[in-house]
Amino acid sequence: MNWKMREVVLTVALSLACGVLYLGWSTLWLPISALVGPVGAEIMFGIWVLASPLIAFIIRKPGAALIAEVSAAAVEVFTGSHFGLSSLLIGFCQGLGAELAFFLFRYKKYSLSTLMLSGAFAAIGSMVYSLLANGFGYFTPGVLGATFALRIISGAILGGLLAKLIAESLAKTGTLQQYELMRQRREQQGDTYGSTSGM
Amino acid sequence: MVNTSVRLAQINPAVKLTAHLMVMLFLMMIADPATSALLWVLSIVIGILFGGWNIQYIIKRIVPYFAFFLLVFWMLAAFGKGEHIVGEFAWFRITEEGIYNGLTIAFRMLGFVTYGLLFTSTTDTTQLVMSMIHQYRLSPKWGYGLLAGLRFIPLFQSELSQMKAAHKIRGFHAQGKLKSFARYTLPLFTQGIRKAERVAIAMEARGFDGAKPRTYYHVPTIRRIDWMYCAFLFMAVLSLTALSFSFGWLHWTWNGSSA
Repeated sequence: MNWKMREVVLTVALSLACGVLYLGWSTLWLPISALVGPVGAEIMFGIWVLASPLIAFIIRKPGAALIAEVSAAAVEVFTGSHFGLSSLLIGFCQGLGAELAFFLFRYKKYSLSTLMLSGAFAAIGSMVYSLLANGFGYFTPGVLGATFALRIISGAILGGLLAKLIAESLAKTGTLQQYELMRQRREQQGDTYGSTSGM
Repeated sequence: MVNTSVRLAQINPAVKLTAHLMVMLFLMMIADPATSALLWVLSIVIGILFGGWNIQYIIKRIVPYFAFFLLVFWMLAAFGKGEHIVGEFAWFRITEEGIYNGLTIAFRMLGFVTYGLLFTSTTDTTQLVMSMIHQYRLSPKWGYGLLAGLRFIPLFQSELSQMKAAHKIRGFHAQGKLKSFARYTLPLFTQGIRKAERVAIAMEARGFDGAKPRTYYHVPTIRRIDWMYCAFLFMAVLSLTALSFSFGWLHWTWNGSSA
């Protein structure tokens, strides 16, 4: 578990970029959820768990998913906006969930299905928080069940699948040559002399 | 936004963070509107006493959240479970229990917002990270990595709005939120990666390897005033809860709720 400086800074920078994207998302969230109830708004949920699968997929180290989601949530603290400290708590719960998926595969398998599982687990983590803090337990069982199902699906697709798509596009730009994702790929292709483009 | 002259700004950031998170966890254990409201009022009082908040600040920063309060309340009142129906129309079904729970959660959310604001409005981010390094043994590698990354937040924000403006001026209209999201994320991330790479190289070039034994210009410590603030905060929370208990208002989350 030896992190290189560039990996540390990349993790932080990408998580914070995700956090900036989350900021816009949370202003949209509440008006929609008040109108159609928690169920309808859940479709959008997955974006909030993007940071974990995306960064874990690039960095491929234990702890990356948890750190990513907590730092992304910390943006709300540092910008002094809306949910501040509570976003830190929910970010921690989501990060733990997302981390669990990679832990189950012993940080060896970084396929699309692992990423989607990670998004789904992050959704479960956030659901645990919502039950404890946001009073989701007070919804009718039907509403609660539907919310839960939609959130998991959204987490897997908007979190996991989107993370994979974004990471693949980023890989194409050549900026990720120095990171574990591309390194492993080069090894698979038998390309031993790593090119050092992408600066 | 951070006011460093007020008393709350002098509290050790790591201690303050822990104390406020603990109060928020305590709020999660309470399941009645009266106690939740009392604890929310406490956060406002602390803001006025130690945070340098005045009426203008409260009107500007807290009052907008009343809309948020109504939304959260409405969500539980209209979609919550309950037997005693008050009114029903369209797909909304309002019950007495829903109103009771809705008020609880809405006050809890307001509490979260104000305890969070109390923290963010009086905490300098650099001091927070330094205090995390010293009080919570965050490794310097992550601490300084985080500090370097924090400078990116305003940069990312302006880049995002720049990209939106650039698209707009070229006549691009986003069809749907998701499409525009995909459109802006990629440039944002590639820029982020490039910046991160440059910063990391700059740090390493100056001999920063994140090794543990190192010297610091400023070492935050925990002083008596920090303990006093914690003691005051926790005593106030407990006495308000006791007060609410003596009036028979108090309900814990695990006891279930009854209207």
